Amino acid sequence: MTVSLDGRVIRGVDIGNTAFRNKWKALPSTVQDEAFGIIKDLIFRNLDELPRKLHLHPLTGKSVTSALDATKKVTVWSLHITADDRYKASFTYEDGKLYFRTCGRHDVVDKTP
Amino acid sequence: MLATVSLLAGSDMELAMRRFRSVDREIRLGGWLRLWVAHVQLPIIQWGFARSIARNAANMNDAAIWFTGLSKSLMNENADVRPYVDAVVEQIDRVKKNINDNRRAQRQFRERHHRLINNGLLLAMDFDNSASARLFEAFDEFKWTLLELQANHSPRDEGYAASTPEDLAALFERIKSEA
Repeated sequence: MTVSLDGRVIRGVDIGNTAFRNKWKALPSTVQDEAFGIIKDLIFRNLDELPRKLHLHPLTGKSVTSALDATKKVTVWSLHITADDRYKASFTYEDGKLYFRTCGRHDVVDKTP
Repeated sequence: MLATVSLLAGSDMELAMRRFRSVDREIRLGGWLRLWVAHVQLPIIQWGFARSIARNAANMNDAAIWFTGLSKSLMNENADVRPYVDAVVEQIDRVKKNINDNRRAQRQFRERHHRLINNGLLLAMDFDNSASARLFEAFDEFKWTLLELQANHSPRDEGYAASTPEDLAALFERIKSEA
């Protein structure tokens, strides 16, 4: 497999944040399995070229504490970690790594006509 | 300083819990009133119901604005909300579910009793529909603000990084065993 290292390539994943790990442990095991598959597939991918089905986007109006320097504020991103869009996770992208921050249920308003 | 921030966040959270309870009561009241309208088919009841729905919708709009403002202010302060997050998020998820249940019930009511519904009631229901959607989004925004703030203040441990899919699989296996 050839990997292009141009652009915002994801060179690693960090789950050192205890909030993320605690939330992860509370997820149903089927959700954990599916979410793991999605997160694993992010490694070596370009952040700007991820599949649209993941709904990756920066959270507007929210800058969060950097994982590398607690005095800095950085952009936080979110993506859907299950195919049915019921769960999502957030992370920061710093020095080529995804620093996961939290995850949980993502309910949407029922707009059925 | 930390204690002050935590105290301020505490009073905000207490207010938030009170507003959740109040919104939740109004949503459930709407459900009871619908039953009355369906069974007591009098114009005066419809009029009262329309008024009550319109008032609830206005309250939901106010609450949506309030929660959006609170989300922004807590984020700007980088408030340490950790002691409150689990209880508040549980409450948010419950009220969000009630909002969706109420929206579904209202839709079914409109379908089943469309002959009963006059224009005033229809307008009030439309108003209620958009207000509840707005409130739902504000609650969701609030929930994720709290979760992000919790992440901001939670300790980070070294040794939880992976740079290959295989390492990552091992890392998640390790977390499982730590549970």
